[in-house]
Amino acid sequence: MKRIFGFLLGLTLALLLTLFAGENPWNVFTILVRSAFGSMYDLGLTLSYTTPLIFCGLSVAIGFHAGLFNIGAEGQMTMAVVTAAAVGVLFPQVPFPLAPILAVLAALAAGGLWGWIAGWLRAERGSHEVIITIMMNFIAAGLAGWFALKIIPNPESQNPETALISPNYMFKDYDLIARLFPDTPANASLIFAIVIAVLMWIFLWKTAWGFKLRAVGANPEAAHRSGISEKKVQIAAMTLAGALAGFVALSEVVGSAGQYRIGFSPDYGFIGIAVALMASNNPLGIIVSAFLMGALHKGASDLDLETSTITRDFSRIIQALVILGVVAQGYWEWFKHKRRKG
Amino acid sequence: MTAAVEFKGISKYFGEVRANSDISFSVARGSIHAIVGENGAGKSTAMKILFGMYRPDAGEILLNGQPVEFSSPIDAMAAKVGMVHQHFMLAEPYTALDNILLQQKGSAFALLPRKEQAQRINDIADRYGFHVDLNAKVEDLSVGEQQRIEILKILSQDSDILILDEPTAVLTPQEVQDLFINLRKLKSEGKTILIITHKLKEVMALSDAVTVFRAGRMVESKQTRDTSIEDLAALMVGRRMQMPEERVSTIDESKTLLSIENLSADLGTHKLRNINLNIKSREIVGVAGVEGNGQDVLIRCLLDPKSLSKNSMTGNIQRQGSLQAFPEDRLRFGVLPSRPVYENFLLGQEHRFTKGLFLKTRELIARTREIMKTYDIRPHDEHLALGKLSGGNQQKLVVARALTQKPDIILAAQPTRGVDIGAIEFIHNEIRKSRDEGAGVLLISSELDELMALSDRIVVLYKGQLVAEFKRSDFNETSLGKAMGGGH
Repeated sequence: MKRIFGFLLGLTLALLLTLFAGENPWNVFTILVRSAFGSMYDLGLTLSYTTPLIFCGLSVAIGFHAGLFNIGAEGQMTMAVVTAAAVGVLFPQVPFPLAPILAVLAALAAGGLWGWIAGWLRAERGSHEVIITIMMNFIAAGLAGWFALKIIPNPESQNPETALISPNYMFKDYDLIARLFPDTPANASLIFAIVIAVLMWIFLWKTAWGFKLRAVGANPEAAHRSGISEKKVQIAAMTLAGALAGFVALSEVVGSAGQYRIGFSPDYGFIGIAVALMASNNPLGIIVSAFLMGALHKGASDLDLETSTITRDFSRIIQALVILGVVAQGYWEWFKHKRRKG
Repeated sequence: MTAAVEFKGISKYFGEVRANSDISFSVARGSIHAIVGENGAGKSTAMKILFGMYRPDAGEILLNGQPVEFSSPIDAMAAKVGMVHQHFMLAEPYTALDNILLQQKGSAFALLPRKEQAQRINDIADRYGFHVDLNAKVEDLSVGEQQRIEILKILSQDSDILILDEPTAVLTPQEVQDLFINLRKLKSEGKTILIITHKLKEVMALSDAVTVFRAGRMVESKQTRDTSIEDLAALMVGRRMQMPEERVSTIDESKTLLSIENLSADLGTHKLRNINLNIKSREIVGVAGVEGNGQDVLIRCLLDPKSLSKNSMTGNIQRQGSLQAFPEDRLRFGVLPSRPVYENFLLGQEHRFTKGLFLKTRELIARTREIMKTYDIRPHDEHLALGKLSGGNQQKLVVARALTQKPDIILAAQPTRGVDIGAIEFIHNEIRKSRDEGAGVLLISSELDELMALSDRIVVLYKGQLVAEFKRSDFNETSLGKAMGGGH
């Protein structure tokens, strides 16, 4: 959370913008806070945004550690979510403890595959991962939409979504967090997300594999000379990134909605970039920054109702300015460092 | 007579680091003034302040007695100060003339017709002896010619004060001779030349006066004729240097560790043709040559043959035992500059510090600390990012990492490039120690002094071929230099 100043700067700038709409920035701020944390219901929603943001933040961060910019978390997540829904709809007979595990494993495989493609193209063909992952996002959106609407649509609804997965796949009955925040999508996968973040921290900093991954990120040519296959590491990192984004299927499909709804994501994959940047790619920091971004997102949703001129899209403006603020802080540190040097 | 350049109490800090501290000396007009010192002694910083790249934190600079304050090199150039950087600033796909004219943008000169501009530059080149084919593309020219373009860039601006940063580092001995002749010509025309170097022989041969830097301070500034190589070396390091060893060969002829047979390889830009080379236990074989004559291909063949496709590499390389290398370009191939020292020590020997899946971080840090002490890698802080260490200390870590793994074969590529004298001595001794313990060493270097100090025999690589071989008893600079320039 080194970048908290950037976050606050972006937030402040965004609030000051509301002056132009004739609002009182302080008033807007209190609405944001109340709407994000005001009641158990509000907090539950905030937490339900936090979970996928942790996963996507981790996905982006592991890419950065290997020197790769994964803009594809959105697409990897989409593939995973639609896969989990497909498994749940197409194999309704699988018994309970096995069913959610199967669905999540399938989701991880789908997300991992989506990351692997970009990683393989990067390592073996030299195609830049930014371009590839952006294109893979579009392919995922198209593919998932087609599959949801043409193959397993929800017969009982006009909404663009898949049919509901069999109840065997859901762990609602055992979910203490879901009980704590009734009527919200918050669920136990938040705990799981935190565990994964801690595991990733251990992986990166305490294992030889994590070191090799970071070595490739720090200097691929030196890593290569020392006997590390930078291609394998790049492919592995993108695959892991895809799988991490794929975990969103756990919170979204198995944990709460029970289906893939087109448009369920308010760009989790992209907000994940800001989440990772804000935490300087530290997995533990990502838990906190995901929570902050989740709170912002939830907070902005009530602006529609409580102000006369500001809509929920304002959260996009806040996000944009927060990203700019975070980047500006990074740039500022770099600049100070450079000036000290010369 | 007022001095052309005078430094008065110049200090420059980078954070906590004192790069220059209270530097004062003056440079007589129309003289060649050498600035010597170890890497990190602050000589480049001082010159960059003179050229307006850095602003001093204290003190002032006087040109011809007038205090000046440059906020950028543009100001410096307007005051007729020019600098040739160690790494050339040339647009390679363009012609020599284009590169020189680019510098003139905005001046009255730039308004002249191109033909006339070319004529003028030709005149300057003739006058000072810096001949270059102005219509050749820079990428097709040799390093020596590229350097001449850099100098012509400065001369065409009518600069009076020339700063040359390590100008001989990349040149063949022959090219160095030519450069010196031309620099003397410039001097006789009244130009003032400041030359940064760490080659003391060149200082003695070329300069009128010399200023010695050590650890950010100016320790001595005197006439060259009043000093000697031993004197200067002692001033630079702060102590007397030991004399190079006189050694009797103890090569173990019965034990061949590395044998290269009929090796040819083609990497596009650089090639190797028909290389044959054997390295025995307790032997150091030097490969001399100006860079770009196939050294990179040789290194690739030895370290990473898998990355070369079958058709681009033929011949046979046989190895008995383990191999460790000091990479030719430390920052690019050797280290993770942004990572702490102990992680850099770990690179390449992960298996030695792993238990199951996990790194034995405590053991790694303890071992790194120990290594930093025995190799005197400063500052003694294993958590510091490696990039914050001086070049010499970075290289010591690279050497330590390779040698503590007790390799049978050592590939030492430019082992002391950009390294200060104290560290050079240390690294040379470590290489000798490993040799005495039975290792075979392939030493690839463009420094004749280094090759002659360490090698049992020297082969010369020129345009991808081994064109000459010298036994230790026949080492001599002139014939080696000739062979390096292709004139065997």
